[in-house]
Amino acid sequence: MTVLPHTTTATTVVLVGSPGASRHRLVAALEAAPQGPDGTGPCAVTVIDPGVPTPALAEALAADPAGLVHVVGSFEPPCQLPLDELDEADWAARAEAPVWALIETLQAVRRGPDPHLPLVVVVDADGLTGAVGATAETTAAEGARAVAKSAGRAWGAGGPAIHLVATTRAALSGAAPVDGAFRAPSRGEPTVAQAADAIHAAFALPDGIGVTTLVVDGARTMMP
Amino acid sequence: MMDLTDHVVIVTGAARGVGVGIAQAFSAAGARVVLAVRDTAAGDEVLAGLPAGGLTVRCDVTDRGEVEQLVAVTRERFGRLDHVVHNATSGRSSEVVDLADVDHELWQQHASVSLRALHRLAAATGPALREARGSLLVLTSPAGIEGSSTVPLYAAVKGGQRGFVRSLAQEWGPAGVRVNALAPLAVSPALRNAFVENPELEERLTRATPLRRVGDPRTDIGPAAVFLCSPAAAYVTGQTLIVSGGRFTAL
Repeated sequence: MTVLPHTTTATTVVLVGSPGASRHRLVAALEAAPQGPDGTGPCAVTVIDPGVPTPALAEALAADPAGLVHVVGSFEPPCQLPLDELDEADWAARAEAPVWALIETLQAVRRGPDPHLPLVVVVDADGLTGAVGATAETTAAEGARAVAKSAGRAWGAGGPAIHLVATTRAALSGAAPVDGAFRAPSRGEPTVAQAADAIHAAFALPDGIGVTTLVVDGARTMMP
Repeated sequence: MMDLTDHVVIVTGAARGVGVGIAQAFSAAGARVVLAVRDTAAGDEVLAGLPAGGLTVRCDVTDRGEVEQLVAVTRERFGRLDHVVHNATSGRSSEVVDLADVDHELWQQHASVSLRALHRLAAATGPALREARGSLLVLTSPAGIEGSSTVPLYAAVKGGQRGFVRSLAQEWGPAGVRVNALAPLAVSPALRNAFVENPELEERLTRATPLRRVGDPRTDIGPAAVFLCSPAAAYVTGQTLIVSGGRFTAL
């Protein structure tokens, strides 16, 4: 577990996500945002690797965070891998393990000291549309969205407020977007700062809004 | 446009329920159906009722060797493969669980049949489907679209399948192979058992369905599967067709 330095006045957000430059950029953007999840000021982020033994996450949850962000899968620079080149180990790691990791996080929150802890799940926006060479990643993204909806249905008011933010790999990694997308982003390529803002906005959504997906893709898909 | 005479289709999980209805509908459209089943006796019973004939092949889709054998036997016997319908799901699909309590073993059960086997089946049949400019059809579920409080792992893998279909449709489209999903509301063996245990459930579900009945695998779901694989849907790919009597209308 990596605990990033934070001040005693800042609220804390726990972020569960795969190590890498994208995670680092997202953490920095979350901390740079003027308002954290409770709207009282900036936040500090405690980072946990997915799939770590439960005590690491339990310890972070015991520290009374204001919210939890779970990033599904890796958001490192785009790496197209056609189905024929995707071996079974790749498949398990990219398509299945990220969904199970989200389930583990949800279970930890449910069993933790605050079963109402607000939760934002970050998924690859490609899951909404599909993308060449991304069968595994989009499987994980849409599997994770279904998990979040199921948790919202099962636990209702007795569970955490759950929302999703769907954003692009390019936004989190800072890499150039993959060529070939037909639709241009009508508001420009999304940035990691916009993704972070959307995460904070998702935390701030009113109670009456059920599990919903905020799409941060530069207004490319304009999904319902 | 729905004539599939001489086409060859593999249907996984074809020994019971929706899989049987799909096999019957493909056969009625003239296709030869390869029934990929774990219970070959049950498969042979289904095969006996198929007017266009076919083949029963023992296949546990979680076994890579058996999937490869399925494809090899199909091509050896018929010389072609035009369509694949992945309908098989875990035997524990309908088990009611709380997401808070599910363990990794149960997740593996679901993922191995609905996700890993789908990847494996697509990889193994891709060359034949490209040769035939055919289609891959995945039986998903409304649960994968809106989540489920009672079968969350089933919902997870069914949602995942939709993400898979969207990407593979884009990947295989240039080769002329179409990839779609079908989300049915139908009387499966599990649902039928649930109706027996809880007669009110059938009434409630029927009342909540605008067409006032739960879908029949052969007459309601099978034809929709045939449509998606037929020339009538030649310009349809990457889609999920919800066949639920109007029960599920939000995407």
